[in-house]
Amino acid sequence: MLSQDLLLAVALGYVVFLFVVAFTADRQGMRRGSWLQSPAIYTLALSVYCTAWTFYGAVGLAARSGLEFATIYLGPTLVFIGWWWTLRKLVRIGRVHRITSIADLVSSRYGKSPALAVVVTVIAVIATTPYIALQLKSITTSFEAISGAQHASRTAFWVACGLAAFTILFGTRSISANERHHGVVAAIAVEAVTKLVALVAVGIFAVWGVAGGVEAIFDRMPAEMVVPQETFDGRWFTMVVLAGAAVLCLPRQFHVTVVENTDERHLLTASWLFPLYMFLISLFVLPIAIAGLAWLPEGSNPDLFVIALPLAFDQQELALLAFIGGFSSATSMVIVASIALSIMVSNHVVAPLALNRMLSERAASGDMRDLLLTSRRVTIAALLGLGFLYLTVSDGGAGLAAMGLTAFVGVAQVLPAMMGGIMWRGATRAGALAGLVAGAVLWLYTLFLPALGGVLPENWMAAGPFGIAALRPQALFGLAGLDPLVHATVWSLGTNILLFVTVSMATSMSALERLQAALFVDVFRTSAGDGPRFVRREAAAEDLFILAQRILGAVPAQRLFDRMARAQGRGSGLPKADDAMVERLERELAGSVGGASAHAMVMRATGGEIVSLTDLIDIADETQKLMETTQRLADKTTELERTADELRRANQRLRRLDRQKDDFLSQVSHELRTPMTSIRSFSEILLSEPQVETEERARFTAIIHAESIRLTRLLDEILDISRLESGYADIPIEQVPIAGVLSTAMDCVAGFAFERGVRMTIDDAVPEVAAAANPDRLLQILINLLSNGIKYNGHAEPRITLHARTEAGRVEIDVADNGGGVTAEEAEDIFAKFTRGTRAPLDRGAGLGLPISRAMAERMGGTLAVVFREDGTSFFRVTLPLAPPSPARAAE
Amino acid sequence: MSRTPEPERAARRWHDAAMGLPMAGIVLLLSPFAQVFAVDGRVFGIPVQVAYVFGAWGLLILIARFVARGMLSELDEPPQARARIAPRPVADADSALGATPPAPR
Repeated sequence: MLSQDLLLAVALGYVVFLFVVAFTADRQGMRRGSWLQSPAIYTLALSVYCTAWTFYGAVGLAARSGLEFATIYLGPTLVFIGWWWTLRKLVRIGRVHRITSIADLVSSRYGKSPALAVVVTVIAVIATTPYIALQLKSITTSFEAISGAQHASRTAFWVACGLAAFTILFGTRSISANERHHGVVAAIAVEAVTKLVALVAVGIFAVWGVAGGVEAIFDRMPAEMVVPQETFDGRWFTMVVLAGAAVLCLPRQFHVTVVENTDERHLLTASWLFPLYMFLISLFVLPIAIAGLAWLPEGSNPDLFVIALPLAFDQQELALLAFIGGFSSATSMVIVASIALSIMVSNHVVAPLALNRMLSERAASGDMRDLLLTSRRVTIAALLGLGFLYLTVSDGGAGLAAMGLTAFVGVAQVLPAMMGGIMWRGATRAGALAGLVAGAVLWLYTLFLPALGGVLPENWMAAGPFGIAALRPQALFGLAGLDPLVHATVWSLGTNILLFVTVSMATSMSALERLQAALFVDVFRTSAGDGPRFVRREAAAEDLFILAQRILGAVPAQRLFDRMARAQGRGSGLPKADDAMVERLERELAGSVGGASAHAMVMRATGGEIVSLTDLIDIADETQKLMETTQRLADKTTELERTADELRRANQRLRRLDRQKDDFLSQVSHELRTPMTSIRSFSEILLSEPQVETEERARFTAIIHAESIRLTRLLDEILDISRLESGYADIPIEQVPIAGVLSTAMDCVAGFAFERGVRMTIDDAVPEVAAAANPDRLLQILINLLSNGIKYNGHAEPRITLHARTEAGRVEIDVADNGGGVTAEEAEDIFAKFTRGTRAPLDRGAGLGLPISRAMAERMGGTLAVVFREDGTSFFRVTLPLAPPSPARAAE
Repeated sequence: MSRTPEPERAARRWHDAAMGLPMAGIVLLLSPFAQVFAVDGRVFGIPVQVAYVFGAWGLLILIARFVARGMLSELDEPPQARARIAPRPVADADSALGATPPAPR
């Protein structure tokens, strides 16, 4: 046992030390780049999460439920290693919009709603007060345990007073400057180190000092402490989720994470350093619990193992260190929580009331700043007083952990509105309000009031209020058999989320809500400066100056207005009260009194606002627009690619055509040259050798004649094709009965076919229709195809089949021979001039027949194509438009 | 599109890692997967399940540190990657919008 005097002296000395640290840091922190703005300090400040509940309660929880205590730290670990998803955005929004508290964030997001701010503030106060009481209780019980004193509530009173003094002194120095408190943060960081060192020291003592090694300590572990099959149950999952929600939503946690953040990059370091801190502080919890159960006398309070263990082994210095560690955990929580709550109460409850008063006595130049600071000081004192009162009245019987978890479920009610607000554009004020109120009421009824004990009548718990069993607080609507914590979480959070989503979808937003939603959800794409683009306000600069003086104080307001005037390029006097200036002023004020109050004040001064809806739609649809732009770009790219592709193909075709033209010229000269040569040589013979006999002469002349005819025909064909291709040829279209033209064509080549032994047949019955074509040209095409079939058919029993049918307003004539047709590779080329298929023996025909036929078919509005059968053989198909039915056909 | 510049791609890899890490954490600590280690027995004198919870926890912290370091070095080096976390200039949003009418002064 240590003497009370010594303990008090040590505690007092420690507090004085903290005062010095805070005082020095407050001086230092003003400077940029000071060590106080390092990521390590930021991380240590985050450890305000680990309260006396951690220090004493986690060991107690471990002694009762084994590994379950770890969930309290695993939830925050998951949130911090997953900083990319939530914290990154929260911190950015906090910085851009000068958020002062979690209530401010929620209210600002939903159109700067004062009602939402009040609801969140009330939930936070209800959840936090018992929590503060717990910290005080932990200080007194540890004091009693270590000193042996009996009724130390007097100590608790003085501790509460001391904490209030510290908090008021360092936590309410100014109302602006983004609510950063360097002195407090430095003190919290020192306390963070103290509690970690103390707990680790006790842990090392438990493992190696008491048990004698890792193996030895776990040898003494009771079998029921860690039952592997029962660890990962519904309660485990619920507690991890709750702890994760708490690290985002607890007012003090939000304050250190978002409001006190000086550099977004600190979050990166904290993403692993804070989980590491929690890992280290949890490492020895289980061993201390085991050692306490094994070596301390039966019936010792597990919540005090941390102190009782060193005391039992007469390690007074270690016990003292543990006491200081616990003291640190408790005080840091109380300080930060009361600062965070005092900001919320003064900004969201006092400021709106003061605003009304300010309006009613317009002439009076009351200083709002003093009022707000006073209200914060009063709030801090009141919170600690309430906590103390709660402690003495309730004389808390429940374990430390129970109240902590109750508070977790309470603040978790803010999570849907907060996360929905920063992720989902469609979340509305009504939805957030409905979810929050319903969730909070259910939380109070199913968890908070039952946990208080004695507030709800006994028979309510067992039989339900007024005997209605469906309304039993811990088995609502018959949902019995669940752990009370899981039960309350499922009902309150479930209803909260359901109402939040459905009401949001059923209600519409005001213009300001829409603007704020866009600014928050797209915070990485917009900036606070976007505001004035959409909100138009008019005000007298003098009114605004008076307003600023009242809230910021005369000197800071003068400085701000000078800066704004300079930014507008004015040397002296007040700045012009344009939209941008009003918006900037509102943001500055929001950093002091919160978004909703600042908005209301500026609104009064400017006499309303016009949110330009058309402009607003632009920003509200920004994501949409960006997506559209991206889509358009992508479309353009594909289009460009397609065009490039087409160009490439066209280029290739042009090259091929160019080559074909060259080929054509050389072919033409070659084809012309052959007959010309023979004509020339025979004429020369006739000229130079008069003694040629008459028979010879006649033969030569016949050759010359035949060659001339061939030459003429060739030239005709070339002329023909160029006329056809250039479109000069005049081809009169008339009705051509198909049956007639087919038989004529067969008659024309019958002699030739007979000569070659080719049998020609007309397949099926030819339809009684007429094509719109030129009879001569069509005949020419058919004769050409037929004679090709006759000439180039290498089959032993050559046969040609003609086939005709109508198909969708067109008539198709197939000319097929059993020689196999052309190959797929040739199909492209045979319609080029002077090309002959591989089946054609060399030097037979000029290779102009098919190109001419195709050109003619096309000129008549039809086609000539090669059609492939499945076995690879092919035939020719002529397609022509059908002639409209007319009496002429009946005459056929 | 496939020709993303090298630093950009490295930055994106870090972002992907930062996004994926909590999911790994959920799988390790909140999913039925954890039941695999719900067995009796000891490793180095520590009950298997205790060792598993703290081991997974420590592993997540190590990876988080690795990712945070990677992103910090990314932030310090190429300016184009900086835009991802550092405040974007307003002009950026404007130019992306293109059609936004200018605010009347």
